[in-house]
Formats: sequence, structure tokens, C-alpha cells
Amino acid sequence: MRTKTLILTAALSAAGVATSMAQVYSVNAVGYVNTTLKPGYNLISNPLIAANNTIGSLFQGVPNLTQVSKFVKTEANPTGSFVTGTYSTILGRWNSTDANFANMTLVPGEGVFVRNPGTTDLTVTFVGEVPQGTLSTPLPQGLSIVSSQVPQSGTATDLGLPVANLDQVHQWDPAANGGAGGYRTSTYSTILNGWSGSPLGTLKVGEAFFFNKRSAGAGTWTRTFSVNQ
Amino acid sequence: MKKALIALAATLVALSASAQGLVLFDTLAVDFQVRGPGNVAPGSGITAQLFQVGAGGALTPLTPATTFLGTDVPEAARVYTVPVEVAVPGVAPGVAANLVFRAYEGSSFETASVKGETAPFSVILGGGLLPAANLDALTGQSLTLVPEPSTIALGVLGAAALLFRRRK
Repeated sequence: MRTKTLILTAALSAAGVATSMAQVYSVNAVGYVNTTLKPGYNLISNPLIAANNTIGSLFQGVPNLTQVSKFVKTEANPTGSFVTGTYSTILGRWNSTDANFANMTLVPGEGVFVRNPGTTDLTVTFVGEVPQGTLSTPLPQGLSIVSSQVPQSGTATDLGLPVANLDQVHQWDPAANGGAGGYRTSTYSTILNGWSGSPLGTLKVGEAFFFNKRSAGAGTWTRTFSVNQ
Repeated sequence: MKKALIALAATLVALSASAQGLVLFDTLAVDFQVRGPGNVAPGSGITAQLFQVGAGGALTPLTPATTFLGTDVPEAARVYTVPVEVAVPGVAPGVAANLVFRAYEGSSFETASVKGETAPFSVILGGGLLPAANLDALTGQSLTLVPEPSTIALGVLGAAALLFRRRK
């Protein structure tokens, strides 16, 4: 297996824990990831397992009018739609049509749009444990926003995303269309034995993307990871 | 489903009021195959273009147009278009637009000697924060381009004239 580059912006500190007389150690790796938000919309993930993975906790201290939009699919709405909250310093909380917005979670493997209302870059810092072990990300049929649970950069192929004929990866580029943002779309084709449309871009640690699972039924993106590999 | 689409449309409009609806003009993504006369891939001289159906059935060309995949891909793939993203003016993301697919030889569909088109079909547009919409209504269908009747007539006349001269 090709060694992938594990990218974190701080040194990891490992806490070893002896689990039994058999001297088997589990190592928890903790650290932080700084994610840069360009002015406008950014499609990002929470790459670490925080003590509190709610939107309200993860995005504490953001500027006034910062918006977070999560793409939600339910039985009643299987196509999916965005639920958006706007942080208001006047209210001192998130304002949304969903009263429970601040308690919605963002865990590794998911993603959200974050709108930076300013004209300069904004940095959001995620702190927590690196996900390890067997990591499974649900891939429902149709559109969903997903991200690599393993905090590595690479193309969707490099990161082990399982694809079938006509599945699509839509990677958001906040600088496209004069800063309004736009997608680079890649469609997997068994006829081409590869990707049509835009070449697969490199996904950064902390970056999410839209995946369109065109084949019937749900799938799972599974990877096994340890910081020791 | 309709309520979900309306809610989605409202969200998208609120998020980006100035965004146009977008279509991913990629026939490979929906397995919509186009062939020329003789059941062969269209080739480099054929243009593919989407048109918006307006009031009274008037067709407005959308840009960019595109061409078909060439000899750098397997032969089975040359019946599909080179992907481009097409904006539909005046129609917001999450709202349905009626479109027609046309393929033609030469500079315009009207003057083309070889051409073909689909019946109108509906697409709920992407755009805003959603990816461009696929042409799902064309999934699994096919279109064969045919020579224009004037072209056929000239060909028949020419063949008849040649036969007449030989008999003489």
C-alpha cells in the first residue's frame, strides 16, 4: 500500500494506554487542523473527533453573519436540501429556521458550506482526536456532502472513494466565477476506465465535496487507518 | 417531493439570489448516445447544443455548444459529448427548465445538412450551492442524425442521372 502523507498543522501528541496484562496499547493521537476560509462559500469538513462535534461548538467565535449550511436528507426529503444558520453577534447565537441548528453535528466524513462574510481569509481551527481504526462513511444514493475521515490529502481515488459507473465527484472551488464559487465535476466511466470532465483535483485535509452516487442503493466508504502506518 | 423541491428552491434563491440555473451538458453522464448516418459516431464536424424552450415553443440557443469525444477515447465513448457546463438565463437553481438537445453539422441547425433533435424535456436546474444538474430525462436514450431531405433528394437525382447516362 502506497504511503500517503498525513498532514496536520501541529505535532501530534500520543497518549498510550495499557489495556490489559497482555500489554496491548491503543494510541490516541490528538492535534489540531487550521482550515482557511476564503471570502464567500467554502465546502469544508471537521477532520478530527472533537469533544463536542456540534456546529455551535465547532464554530465558536466566528464573525458576525458567518453562515453554515448543512445538506440534509431525510425519509420525507430523500433528495436533500440545505439547512442554514447565520451567526449573529447581536443575538449571541445561531439564527436559523431550524431551532436546533446549533446542536446539529458535523462529524468526520461529513461536510458543510461555510460562508465567510468578510473580504479577507478567515481561519477556523478544529481540535480533537485523529480518527483511527475501521472508518466508515455512508454514501446514500444521489447527492451527499462527504469527506475523507482519514486526515490525508489526495484525489478521491487516492483516498479510496468507491465509485461505480457514472458516479460523480463535484469539487467546490471558492475562487471560481470571480469569487462566487463553482464546481469542477468529474464523472467516472467504465467505458473510459477513468474520469470524464474535469480531472480529479487534490482534496485538502478538511475539505469536503459533493458525491453523486448514481447507482441504485446506498454504499459505504470504508478505510482502515492508524497513525502508526 | 414537490414540497422538498420548493423548499430547496427557496433555500437556493436565498443563498444566492443572482445565481443562474446550471446544467451539466455531459451525455456520457446519462448514457445518451448520438450517432450519425450509418450508425457511426458523429465525428468532429458535428456540434451539440442545448436550447431553452420558451413561450410558444420558441427555442433559444444556450452556450456553450460542444462537440463529441474524439479518437483519443475508446470507440464506444465517441457517441458522447465533451462535457461543458451550461447556464440557463432567467431560471434560478432548483427550478425546472424545458430544454431541447440538438446536434448538427455546419454552422447552424437550420442550415445543417445532417442533424437531429430530441423532444423537449424538463430539467430541475442546479447552480448556487448545488452542482450543475444532469440531463437525467435523457438517460438511456439515443438519437440518430439524419441527412436533410434536400440532401437526400440531390443524392437520388445524382444517382438517377448517372444510371441514365450509363444506359445511353
